[in-house]
Amino acid sequence: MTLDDRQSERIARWLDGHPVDLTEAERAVAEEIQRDQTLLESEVPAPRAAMERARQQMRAELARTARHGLQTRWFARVAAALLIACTTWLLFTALPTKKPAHAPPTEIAEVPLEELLDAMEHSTVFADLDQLEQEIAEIRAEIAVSTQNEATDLKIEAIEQQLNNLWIEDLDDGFLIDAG
Amino acid sequence: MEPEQLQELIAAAQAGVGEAYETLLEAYWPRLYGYFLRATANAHEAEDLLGEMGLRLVRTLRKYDDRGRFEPWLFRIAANLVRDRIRRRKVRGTMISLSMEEESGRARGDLLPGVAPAVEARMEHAEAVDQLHESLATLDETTREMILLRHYGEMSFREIADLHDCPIGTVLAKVHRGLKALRCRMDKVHDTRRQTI
Repeated sequence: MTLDDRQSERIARWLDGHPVDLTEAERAVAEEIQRDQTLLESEVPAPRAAMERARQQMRAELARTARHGLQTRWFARVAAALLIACTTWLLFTALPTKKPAHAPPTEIAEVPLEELLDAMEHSTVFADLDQLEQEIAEIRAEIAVSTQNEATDLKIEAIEQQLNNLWIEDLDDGFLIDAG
Repeated sequence: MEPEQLQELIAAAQAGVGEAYETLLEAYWPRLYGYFLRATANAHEAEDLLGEMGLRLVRTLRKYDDRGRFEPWLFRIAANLVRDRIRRRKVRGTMISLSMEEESGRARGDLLPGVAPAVEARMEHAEAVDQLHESLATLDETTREMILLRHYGEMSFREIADLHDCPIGTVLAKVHRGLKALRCRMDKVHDTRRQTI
């Protein structure tokens, strides 16, 4: 009997245990399939040694899986600890320090001498210092001149004072003479 | 095995109990071995595949969803293992040996307790097994797999159709044709041997 798709499906569903109302021809095919399936029922020599080897392999795999699980957990813990340590360190270094603004820099001590000399060589600080020195000299000269003027003024004032005193003394004497 | 007992075993294995895995393998190994032997017609390969099946069980049982049936899931893995093995064998160009005796290299007395038949019966049995292997080897790979999954995996036509992603009617047609061819060939071999004797 040649089966079409619909018939094949109906027979398959019936053999799967579904309640399908098969035709006589369909039922014959279904029974033929059931009968032919018994061809495979001859005993298979199943050596116990094969099972034992499979069991050993399975035990080894279970042990390996357990070890792997332990290692994974250990690595996860170490990674978490490292992460915490790194985060703490970053937070600590990123926070502003409480050092006063006028405190001398301590970092300079860590700079190598060669670098310092090189920096000094290329620095414009000496030219600036020269200019500053020149400016100071000029100011000093001005101060000196100004101080000299002041001294002269003071001298003049003192002479004027003496002259006044003299006049007053002379006047008193003259007046007294005249009046007397 | 009772469904409740099986469910408990699976749950225990998924929780990491080693004995549960062993009990599962112990319960299914004769059927699995039978499937591997029939599918490869080679005792060494069947044994090797059984070992690999144990490894796969350990690696994949955690992913098993208990809502489905366990046996189709188990035999689906077995079918994939056989397919891989046959593919590799084709690449290597190895010939399929149809004689289990010369492949196994071990006495047939090394059988499950209580299944070793008497000497005369053993010879007849060996002949029948060889005939079956010869006949199965003449079928195409898909048909052979469908027939074996139906018998050893106790899979329904619907489950086989889902595995092969084809209509249920197609599975039935293939199994029907395959079994008919198997019976014809075995009858023919049987008649030839009878005439020779």
